[in-house]
Amino acid sequence: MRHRVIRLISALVLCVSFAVIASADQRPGADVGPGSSQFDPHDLAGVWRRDGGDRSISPQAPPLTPAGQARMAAHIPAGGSRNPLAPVASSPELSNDPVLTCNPKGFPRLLVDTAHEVHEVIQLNGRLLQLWQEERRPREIWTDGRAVPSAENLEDLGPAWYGHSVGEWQGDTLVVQTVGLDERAWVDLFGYPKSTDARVEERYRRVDADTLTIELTLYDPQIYTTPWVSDTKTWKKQPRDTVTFFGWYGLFSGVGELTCAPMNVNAANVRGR
Amino acid sequence: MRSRSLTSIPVLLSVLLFSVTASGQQPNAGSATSQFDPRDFSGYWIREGPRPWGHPPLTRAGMAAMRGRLPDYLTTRSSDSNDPMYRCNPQGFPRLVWEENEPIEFVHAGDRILQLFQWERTLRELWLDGRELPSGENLTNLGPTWYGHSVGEWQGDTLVVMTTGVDERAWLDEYANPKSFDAQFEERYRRIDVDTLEGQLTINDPANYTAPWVQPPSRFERMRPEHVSYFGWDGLFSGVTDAICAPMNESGFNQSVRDPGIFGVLEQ
Repeated sequence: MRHRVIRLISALVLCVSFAVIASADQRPGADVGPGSSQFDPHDLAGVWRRDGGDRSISPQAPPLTPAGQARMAAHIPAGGSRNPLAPVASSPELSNDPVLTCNPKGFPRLLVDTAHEVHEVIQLNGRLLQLWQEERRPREIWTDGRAVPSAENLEDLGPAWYGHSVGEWQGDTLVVQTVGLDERAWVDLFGYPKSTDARVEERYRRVDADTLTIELTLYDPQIYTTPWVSDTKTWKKQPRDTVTFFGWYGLFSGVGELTCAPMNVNAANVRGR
Repeated sequence: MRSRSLTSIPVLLSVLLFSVTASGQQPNAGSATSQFDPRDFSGYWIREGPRPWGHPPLTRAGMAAMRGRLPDYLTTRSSDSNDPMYRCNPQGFPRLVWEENEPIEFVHAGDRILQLFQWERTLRELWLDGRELPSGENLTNLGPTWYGHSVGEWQGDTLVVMTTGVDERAWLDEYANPKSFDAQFEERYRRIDVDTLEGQLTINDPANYTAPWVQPPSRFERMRPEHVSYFGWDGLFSGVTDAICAPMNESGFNQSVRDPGIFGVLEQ
């Protein structure tokens, strides 16, 4: 009897000890790092560089509604054209792409556009932060159980350049819903529009230690006749040395300064863009 | 023998169970009581108090740097000011922290503390990983950034942050005071009670000022939950609070608000 009790207690102590060690190692960001084969599929922390996927949601947008066509016809892209309604400007200064004058790229453009490719994910209790090197922009994906804003609340909140984002884990996929987007920001560099009633669903999956995939769907019946489903965007985890310059690690330094400043834009124009 | 071994086991279990619960804890976000962790700055804060005024004498270079600058207070119409922030250029550091009275969130993120700013929807990283402040050739090669390169360390319960490498095209403050790339800024933050951070900034910029500029202390007060919650949405960033300076907004704002002037003089 005595030996049985001691064996039972010893087993319990071993179980508790294992739990202590395991819980300390599973804090967000405590990943084993790039190059390792081990990974926690719920751990998205780290620096990620874009490695694949189209520069828009996908190469082929769904047909536009009449309202969508009217919006698109007013856009003059600088970076290329994918729709005859919005031919590319013959010279950049004739484009009315709002980002060329330092208006925010907004969401989802900041994510899909590959003009600049790096972001860092920091996982906290209740939310996930994406820190985008471009624009030096934080994005919050709330995982605290809140509801996506809707109806009167959404209307009262009003649009935000980066919307209001809520995420939940479905198995090993982080599913994020974003609503309340400012429609003045284009979907992409080709001038595709979106409305304030748009909803974007993102699905994040860490498929191996070094690879994160993201698929998006844009639901915007005001503008598109069907949901716009993306191709797979691929992101690769970066080792420390690829984001270290002159001894300084991190996305934000003089070398990595990507905050759009109108005084820089104007200077470029003066020099003759 | 038997009783001694059995009484020691509950003690061991208690220690282990305490360890399990303690390992999952994040920095204390503050409580409604008077107890607080002096090294926990988590939460939403807003700087109270006036904007700093009165600086050491300028050097010749400092005076030259100010030439041509037209701050708001010297104009009758705000749109006559050439303050770069009025055209949506970044306010930069230290202005965004130490002049503005806008919401800031401090986030402890392991190897650094983040400051998230509602105004401009941007951020600073205060690195606590033991790195050195950039200097010499490294700093020159890194180049300027609007918010500088910041390194922090704890001195007792005071967080001391050093920043250098700022972009000197951003004004130091609304009075058009200058700052140089090589300037070093020292911030000292101390949590003095549940709802208050005391902060103080010293500017060491011998290129522009004949002496260090030791600014008076500021207080950062914890924001009430209802002030970071709108229509069921909690947090700094929402449509209601969207404070990104977008040039397409500013041109309309200039026409409807700034051009009529801050003193109520309407344009004829």
